[in-house]
Amino acid sequence: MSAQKAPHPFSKRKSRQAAFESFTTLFFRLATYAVIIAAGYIFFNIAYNGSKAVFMTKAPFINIAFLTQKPQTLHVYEPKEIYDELASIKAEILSSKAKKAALGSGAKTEAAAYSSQIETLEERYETLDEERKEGRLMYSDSEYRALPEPPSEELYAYNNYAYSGGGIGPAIIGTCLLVAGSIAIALTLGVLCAVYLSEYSRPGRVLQLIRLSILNLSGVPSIVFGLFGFGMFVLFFGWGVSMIAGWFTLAIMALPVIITASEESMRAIPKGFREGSLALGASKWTTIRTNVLPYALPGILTSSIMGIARVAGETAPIMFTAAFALRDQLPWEGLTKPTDFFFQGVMALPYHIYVVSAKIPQNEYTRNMQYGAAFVFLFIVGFFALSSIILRVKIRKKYKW
Amino acid sequence: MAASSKQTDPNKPAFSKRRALFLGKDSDSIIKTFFGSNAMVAIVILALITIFLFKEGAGFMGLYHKSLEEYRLSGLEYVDILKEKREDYTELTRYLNDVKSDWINELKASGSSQAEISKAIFNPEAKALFLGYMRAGSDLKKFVKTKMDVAIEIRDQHTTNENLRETVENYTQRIAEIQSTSYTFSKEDRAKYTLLLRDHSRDNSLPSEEAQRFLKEADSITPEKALDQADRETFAMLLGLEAEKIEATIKPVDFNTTIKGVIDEQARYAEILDALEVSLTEVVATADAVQFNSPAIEERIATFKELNQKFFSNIDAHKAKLANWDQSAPVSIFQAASAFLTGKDWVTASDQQDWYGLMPLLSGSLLISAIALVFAIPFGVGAAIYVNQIAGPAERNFIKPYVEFISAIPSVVIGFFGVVVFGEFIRWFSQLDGFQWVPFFPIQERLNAFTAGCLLALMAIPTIFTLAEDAINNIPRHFKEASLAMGATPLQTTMRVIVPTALSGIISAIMLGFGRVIGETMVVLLCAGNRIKIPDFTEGPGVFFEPVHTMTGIIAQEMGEVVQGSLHYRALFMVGIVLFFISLIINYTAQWVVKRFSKLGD
Amino acid sequence: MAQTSTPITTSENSQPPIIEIRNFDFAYGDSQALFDINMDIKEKEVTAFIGPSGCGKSTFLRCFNRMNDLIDIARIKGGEIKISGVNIYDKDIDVIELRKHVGMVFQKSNPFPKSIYDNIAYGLRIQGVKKKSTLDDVVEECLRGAALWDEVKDRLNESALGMSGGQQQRLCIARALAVRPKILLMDEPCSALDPIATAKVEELIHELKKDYTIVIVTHNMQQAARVSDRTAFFYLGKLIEFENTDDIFMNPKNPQTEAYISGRFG
Repeated sequence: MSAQKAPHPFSKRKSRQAAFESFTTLFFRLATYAVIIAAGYIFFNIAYNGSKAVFMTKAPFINIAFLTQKPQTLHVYEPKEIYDELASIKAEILSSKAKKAALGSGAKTEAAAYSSQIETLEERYETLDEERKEGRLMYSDSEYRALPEPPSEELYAYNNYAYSGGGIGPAIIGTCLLVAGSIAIALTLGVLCAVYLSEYSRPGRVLQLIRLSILNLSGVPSIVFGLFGFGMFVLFFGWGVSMIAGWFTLAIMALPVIITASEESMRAIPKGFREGSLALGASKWTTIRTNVLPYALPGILTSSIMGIARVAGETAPIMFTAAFALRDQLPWEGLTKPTDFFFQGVMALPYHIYVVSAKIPQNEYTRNMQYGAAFVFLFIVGFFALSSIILRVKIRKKYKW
Repeated sequence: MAASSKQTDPNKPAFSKRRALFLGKDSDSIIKTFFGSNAMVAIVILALITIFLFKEGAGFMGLYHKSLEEYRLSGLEYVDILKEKREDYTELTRYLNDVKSDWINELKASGSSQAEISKAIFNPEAKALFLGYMRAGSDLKKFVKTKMDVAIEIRDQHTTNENLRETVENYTQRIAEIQSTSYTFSKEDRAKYTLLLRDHSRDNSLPSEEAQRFLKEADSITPEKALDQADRETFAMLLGLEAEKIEATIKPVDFNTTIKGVIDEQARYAEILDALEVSLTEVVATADAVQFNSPAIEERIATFKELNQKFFSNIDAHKAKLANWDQSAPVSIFQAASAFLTGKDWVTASDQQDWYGLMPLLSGSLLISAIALVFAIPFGVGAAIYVNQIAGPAERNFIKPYVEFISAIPSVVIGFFGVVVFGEFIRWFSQLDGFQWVPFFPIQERLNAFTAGCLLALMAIPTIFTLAEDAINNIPRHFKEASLAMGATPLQTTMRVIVPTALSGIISAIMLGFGRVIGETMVVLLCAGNRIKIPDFTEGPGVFFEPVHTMTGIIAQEMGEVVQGSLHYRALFMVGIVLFFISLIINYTAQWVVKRFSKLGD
Repeated sequence: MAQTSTPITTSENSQPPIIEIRNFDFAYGDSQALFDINMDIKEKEVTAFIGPSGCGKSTFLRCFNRMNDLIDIARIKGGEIKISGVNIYDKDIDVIELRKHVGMVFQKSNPFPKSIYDNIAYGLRIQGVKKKSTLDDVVEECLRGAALWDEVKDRLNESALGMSGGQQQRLCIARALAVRPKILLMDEPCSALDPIATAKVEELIHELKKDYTIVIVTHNMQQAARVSDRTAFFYLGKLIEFENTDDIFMNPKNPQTEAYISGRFG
């Protein structure tokens, strides 16, 4: 019969089953990588555009003014002649395009004529635009006020853009203060709670209730925390829109993450450490203090850094508890008594990003501030998140009991 | 060493007596109590959240009930019924205008010149139809406008009175406070007192020596001067006078009489409507004389005629509804609750009636969540299956931290990305020539439910991925081994053994992803378009590209601008309460699903 | 307390027992683990508990220093354990002092992830001893006592986790000695060790017998025969036989004991 060798029973064979198999696998792979690419594009887009605001080609390479100055209004003067001509060219291009679109399908030669006309116009537009960029004057608010007299209105077309000049210094400082305070509070409360859950608790109604509360707390929307903070800290305690109100609101938000992480780290400590210590006559508290917490601490801290990243990234809870859209003074300026420090509102990066992306137009002048702020913020939060992830992997390798 | 000092009885071992530190408790149980009370923090916070949300939101029902009562008593409700017919008429006018512009477009498309088009539109018959229709309703419009003004004035007068009464009440309280002997003057009091003294010294109705005394007194007050009992009494007296003055400005509103100004001209209204019917019938009849020369337009005109017939036939029902309206019908608190929960309008700071209906916000939130989940579920669960079952260790060690990293991207940054990049991208995409066959392309707004939904999907994916991956990972090895040993392929094993076993965990992951999406604020605030309107589901899939507003977004947007304690403020807290309970329910259901349907025992 | 049955004791009764167990019943939740145990353990002797897995010998051992308190569902159903004449389940017992009095060595060696020195000094430090010279003395004494000094004296500051299994276990014994207990409980101390390490630990037990009362739980009958003066055989939560080690191995009175010793079950 045929010369083809009969396949042995275990040989690989092609079948619809195998094709389906590889197709499905491919689908799963594509789904995974689509997510990765989408997120990667966001990182890239913001990093690429933001780095223009944050970095410079000349030494010292980092735009220190942007990172330290206060946000200011940007005053822009563009050479009037060029400005007007640009506007007229733009109108001409639009009308030519409209005419071209209105042509019937038969008039091919006319369409071609319009096309070339549009092309020349566009070229002209681009050269002029370059000239405009060279000829324009831009001042931040402080520079503007220092001018002996503003550029003449006859030569220049004037526009101003809120928040687009200066930098994001106070917002960076405000965010750091908010995060530091809230994490200190959340860690204290969270670790104490976790000690109870992991070391002292006994199964029962109360424990069930605590666990249910923690789980539910972690699912509460951030805006509800904001409302709660507003109702309790801002109004009821009378703290006003203040840093301390923001601290507590954010701390409460971070609490479930920190409790869960701390409890996990403590439970991972082998039982032997505790028994060994107890059998030597150490009290329970001594055992926890000397033989549980020290070994759990690295785990608690690394997981909590993830909590920090989350807290730093939240906008909704601080919108009405702690954040100001614009504040002229830095947190340590203009205090009449030390406690004022806690009871002042601050600028915060996330809220600032919200303000500049929702309340001012998108154009070449505002874009720098928008992307710059987003990039710096993403960098800070990403730094925390990344260090948490890396440290955790390292700790897992180091501590294998 | 340590033991010797404590051992009092040499014959007894050291452990025979427990050391009590405080209230008969030893140090360990004190420490335990300390930690235990700390663990309550989660319960306490949850309770506090509930308490404070209700504390601020609780007054809503009462206030809204009152507002609805005023709405009825002042006759605004009656006016709104009047407005219904006007709206119907406006709707018909709009329809006719649509037909007109379609007609013009059709003429243009058929190659008519501008002059020809003008001629067609402005010929006497066409003019009679289009202009005549518009003009016929002017009486109706005028009538409704007058009545509305009357009703609003009544309502406003009533509100002013309420506010004045409250002010007077505050004065009365202040006076009582001041008259108590323990009261001390504050800085503001001094200023106010001085001001009042000066004011009254100029008051002609007072005897002149009294006025002189006041002036002298006012001049003598310095920040250092102590104020005594006599001053307190004078102050209280002056405040009392002030309160009386305010009280005198209250012009009481008797709704029973004022309502007559709103409902009196029913007969005239009936006449107006009848006249409208007659004139509209005439105008519509002229349509037959217009040369449209287009079957499509003629068809639309036919529909228009039908709509008109419907309009006319409804007039009687409308009249009956007006006649049946009863100012004295009580508004129950239940109606207020249902007006909130099922209300279709969220109108604030309007000059007529403010409405706080949850539906536009809830439907917006749900629409966006649905879009987000449609994307997040396949990607999140698919990636979880891929990473856990298919990917190699190197891939896994890259993807898992990466996804965790995605979850740390601040929502406001994603929202910003949506505003500057993704929204533009979607609009650009919808304008591409190749996609014009899609019925709802090109889209109108770059910021819409779809934009927000896609970005929210990216935020929900890490949640769903992590939890689903955990659920899959928790399945004991032997399940997989047993299946493979029977000759199942890895994929069969995954799809028929692993995924079904982990299904409860995966569903719970999806629920929690849903919770994350519906509670997310910044992305929807920035990217959802913020139009407060129930999405128009009759548009088919086009509904996904409508701008919407959400529960979270409305709180974030309006909370900063409202007056504390006002109805609007409390309404926002009510929305917060609804959101809070939705999140609790989602969380609870997620846990319940795991417990109830877990196939792994424990 | 009413004494329903006489305690099983060994024949010679020269000195008063340091541990007296009377009618002891113990349960985990609803399932009873120990039934009516009566036993006297004498000072400065090695007592071995043998029996098949799950017979309750380890549970029983953990009752002597109340380590079972750590298990939520564990409870005493009746009877008492007296150490030096004091019922250790009395309400006003200081459990911490009890555990200093009754040391314990676990089945799996569990040195803390600290240095060797710190492991031994731990017990003293938690009692508030800070003086370096005292600590040094005690550490050396205990390490010598555990026959470990010569092996580790040059690396006292290295992590205890770097030691071999046998060394780790002897370190745990040394650590237990540092708080100067009267009684030392050993819960299968050699089950995770190789024969050479086991021999060293057994040798150590012999040495320690001079100063301490030792109760050892073991799976290994040869070990019981080698190290103990008296042996108790447990089966299904009951104390079946308690005799001089030689007697129980040569001449068991109870047929169950005989069956176990001759290897017919367990």
